[in-house]
Amino acid sequence: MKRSARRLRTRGAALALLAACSPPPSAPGATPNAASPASAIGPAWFEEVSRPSGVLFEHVRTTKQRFWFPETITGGLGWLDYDRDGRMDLFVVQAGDLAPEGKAVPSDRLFHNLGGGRFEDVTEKAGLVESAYGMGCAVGDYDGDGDPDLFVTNIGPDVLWRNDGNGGFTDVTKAARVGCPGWGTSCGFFDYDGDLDLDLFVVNYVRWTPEIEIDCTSSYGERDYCAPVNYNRPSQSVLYRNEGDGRFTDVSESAGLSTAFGNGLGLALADFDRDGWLDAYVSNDGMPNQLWMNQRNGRFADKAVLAGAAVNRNGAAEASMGTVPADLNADGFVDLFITNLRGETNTVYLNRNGAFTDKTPQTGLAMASLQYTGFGDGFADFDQDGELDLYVANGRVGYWKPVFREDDVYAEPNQLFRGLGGLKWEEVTPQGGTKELLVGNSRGAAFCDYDDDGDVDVAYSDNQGTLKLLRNVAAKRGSWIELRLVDAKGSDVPGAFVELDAGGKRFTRLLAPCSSICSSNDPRVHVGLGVATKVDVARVAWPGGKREEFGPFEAGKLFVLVRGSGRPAVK
Amino acid sequence: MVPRSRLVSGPRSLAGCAALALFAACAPKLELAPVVLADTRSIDPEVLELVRVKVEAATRSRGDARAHGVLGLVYSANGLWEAAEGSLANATRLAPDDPWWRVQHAIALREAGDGARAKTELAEVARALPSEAGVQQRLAQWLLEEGDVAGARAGFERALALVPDQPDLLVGLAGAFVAREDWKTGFDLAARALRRDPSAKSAHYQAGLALRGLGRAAEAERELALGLGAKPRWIDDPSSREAREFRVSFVAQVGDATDLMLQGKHALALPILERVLAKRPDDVNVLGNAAACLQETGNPARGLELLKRALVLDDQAFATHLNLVDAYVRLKQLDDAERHAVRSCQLAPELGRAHLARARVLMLKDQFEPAYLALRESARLDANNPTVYVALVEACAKLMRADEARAWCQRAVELDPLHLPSRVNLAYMTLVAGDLDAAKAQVDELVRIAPENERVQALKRELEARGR
Repeated sequence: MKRSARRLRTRGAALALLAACSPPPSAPGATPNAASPASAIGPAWFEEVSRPSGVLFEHVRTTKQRFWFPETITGGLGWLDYDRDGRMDLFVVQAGDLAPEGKAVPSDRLFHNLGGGRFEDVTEKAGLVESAYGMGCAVGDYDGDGDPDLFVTNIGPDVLWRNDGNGGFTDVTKAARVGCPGWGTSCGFFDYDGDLDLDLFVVNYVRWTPEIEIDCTSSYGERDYCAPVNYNRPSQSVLYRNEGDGRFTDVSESAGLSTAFGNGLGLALADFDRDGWLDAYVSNDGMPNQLWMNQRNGRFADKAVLAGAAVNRNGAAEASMGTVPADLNADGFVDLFITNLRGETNTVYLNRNGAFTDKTPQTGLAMASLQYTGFGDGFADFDQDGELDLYVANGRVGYWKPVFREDDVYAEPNQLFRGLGGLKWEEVTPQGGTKELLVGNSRGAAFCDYDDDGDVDVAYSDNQGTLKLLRNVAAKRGSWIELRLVDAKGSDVPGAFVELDAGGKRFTRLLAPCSSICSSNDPRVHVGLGVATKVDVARVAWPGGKREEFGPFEAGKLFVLVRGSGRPAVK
Repeated sequence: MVPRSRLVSGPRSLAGCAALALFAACAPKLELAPVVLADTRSIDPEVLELVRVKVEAATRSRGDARAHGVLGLVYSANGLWEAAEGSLANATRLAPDDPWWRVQHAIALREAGDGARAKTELAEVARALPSEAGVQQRLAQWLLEEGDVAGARAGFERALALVPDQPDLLVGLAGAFVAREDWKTGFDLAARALRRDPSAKSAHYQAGLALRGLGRAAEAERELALGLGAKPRWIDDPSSREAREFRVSFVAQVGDATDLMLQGKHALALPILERVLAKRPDDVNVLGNAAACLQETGNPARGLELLKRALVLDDQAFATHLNLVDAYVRLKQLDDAERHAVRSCQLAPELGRAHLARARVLMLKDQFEPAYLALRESARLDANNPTVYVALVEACAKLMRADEARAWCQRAVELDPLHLPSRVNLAYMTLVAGDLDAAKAQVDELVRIAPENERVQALKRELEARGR
């Protein structure tokens, strides 16, 4: 059943439908670099190496463009060391076709890192072949056996892949009871109840079926994708409690999550109020975001409005896509960065003692993002000068002008911002940090030192395009250190927060694999140290509230900090 | 798009000039080719026709800034920003001293993504138009958005000197003080704005941020909730008014009508929708909206006619069935209303509104138990819709479930703190339940919100009679 789409329901909130049928006004006249700073073009920060590395992946959103809504969102990926050889491997989520009409659809892919910058596609060998229409993924050792497992969100039932520890994975969705049938997007493992196993949070977007599809047009009159408000069918997030026996229980209702609906896209899992308990922040497309504060009794309460993190500084809900939790000013509180639609700025919510303030205008990030639609995003100190830089993967969800690429009207250039300190950033040229301008319809971005050379590289997925692997070639301005924050079994502990004192300066990092959009980052924490040559002390706040000190450490190496093996830390 | 400009030489000989005094006229005269759309295949015919007329005018008068400027307004009014920017650039070249083309050009530049040039241009214009509050406001807001708080403050203050106590300007200035974390001044300004316009969401939001900064959390939460969905409102200016007249695209017109309907201005929305329907008589959704306007303006029978037309065009559209429920309820034809409510639920079983519509009909038919069940389903599917809880209060009251009614009322108030009937009902039910402390707090809040309301006054008297 297909309906005419210019629908405007007659009463109440449903009236707002058509206005959003078209994307916001167009962006004519601009060309790549048009909004870039006036400074001269500098050297490249990244080199695109997907082909020579053997990471060959073509994302397929559909074999026949039907303008079905899910086609616009898909494209996640995640880094994990599935075979525990110390090198980070890459899992890429594939979409395929929502109505394949008997045709074969491509599968998600797993690329094994061979070392030396080379990868091998081991999808079949690992048993990861499947045909669901994929969105995103999360990585975590849910069964506590020391190797990372994979959770994949789809249109339709999500899938949990248990890492068998022998190079293979087994679909344990049914036994684990996590096959949520909705439109899952971002997802992440975290220990919300302090029982030392990883629970699972899944964000859902729109309650979509082909039957509810409608036709929308751009302001240019082109057939186009609709916005979520056109469907008016927001979803609820799902929280699965890990029962410790390979099974999960859906506790969304008892945890209080089912009282709220949203067009959920992004997810950040962190202890936002530093009470020792992990909270969850859900970014909703065109609706107020949710800040689920852990009530320490199995329940969560949405405190986003009072916390100032529901809407932007003007009170407006934004498109809220890629979501990064990071302590941007090293004050010990986890801040938020969120990418948004063209016409909105990307948004920085600064956290001060649990109260957030939209500080975007003061950061230098506002105007530079105004003409782009941001998806994947992440902070890393790419040049190791001691300040966090920012990478944003852009791509459109609707048709407007100028068109940057004739063969993909949704493609946009990505952006790289250099951290200046003091919560200020400036856009880097060449745009996106690569010598050749890369213009694609980018979605998920995931960050990792895949070549173990001590700097952070980037992989991102282009919707209906080729996956890009950006090797960091930036001129380095300082030293670095990498840390693994693990439990006694050697499994990474998401949500762990580390403060480092080095060279008279404080550095902070959150272990947040679940970041960006639909993606999972390298679980190793990377810190650019600038001029410092050693770390005097590393203080770790583990989920559950325990604090320990480690160190000193030499710069230029990877260290493993095991929970329970450090010195007691003074709060 | 054709080349933007062409310099046409003037007369070459002195004979071409009537007199030396007219020497200026002998200088080369700037003439510019009008900006035309490169690809018109998918543009609305209404827009194309208007563009054709204005392009012809600009072609006839290539040196006339107004001809190019009006063409630019046509483009901008219909969201064609690339062409708008080019046309308005032509106008500003031809009439560099006319600030209004530059205002519109700055807006088009910004919409086109070039915020830096847009700001520079608007800043220059703002100096040329020091007495235009709208221009000062727009510049101040843009400055605030890029972190120039001092510049923004100065701009809002200039505008307020021109239009004292204008609520949108007060909100803007409040935003500048909130950005500096001067919570007290920010709150005072937002409160002043709210006294002038209690419905100003932006003022509520800025007041909430300021109250939070002042440590007044409970008040802050309420104000922030009331401010959700705010966006800056612009003071009107002559060029923007003129641009609005050219909004003829389907998307623009229906968007305008939608905005008006959301503001409850159905009488203003109706003629817009009727114009759209004249061109697109078979658009089911426009039919539905026009029907809604007719119903709201006292013409349900004519609304019903439109909905029946929509049903013939697409009998699977649940929105049409939902609208028919409303139409038949207004006409007191409850069996027909129920039939369409049931059909809505069949077509969209996951849509809370469909179950809500069915529940309303059942309640009108005094079938409270099935209505209650339908409302519970609606609440399950649409948990953030306060209307559902208001209806649940009513159903529970009819079913003599006082405690449950009170709980739903509490939920309705949480979701919509400004919904006065729910607040009054909650206070009343709390009073009846004998929880006098809670009732007093609720009534005190009501007195603050609506001191003149008769039911609020009655509740206050009742509490006083009970010694509170």
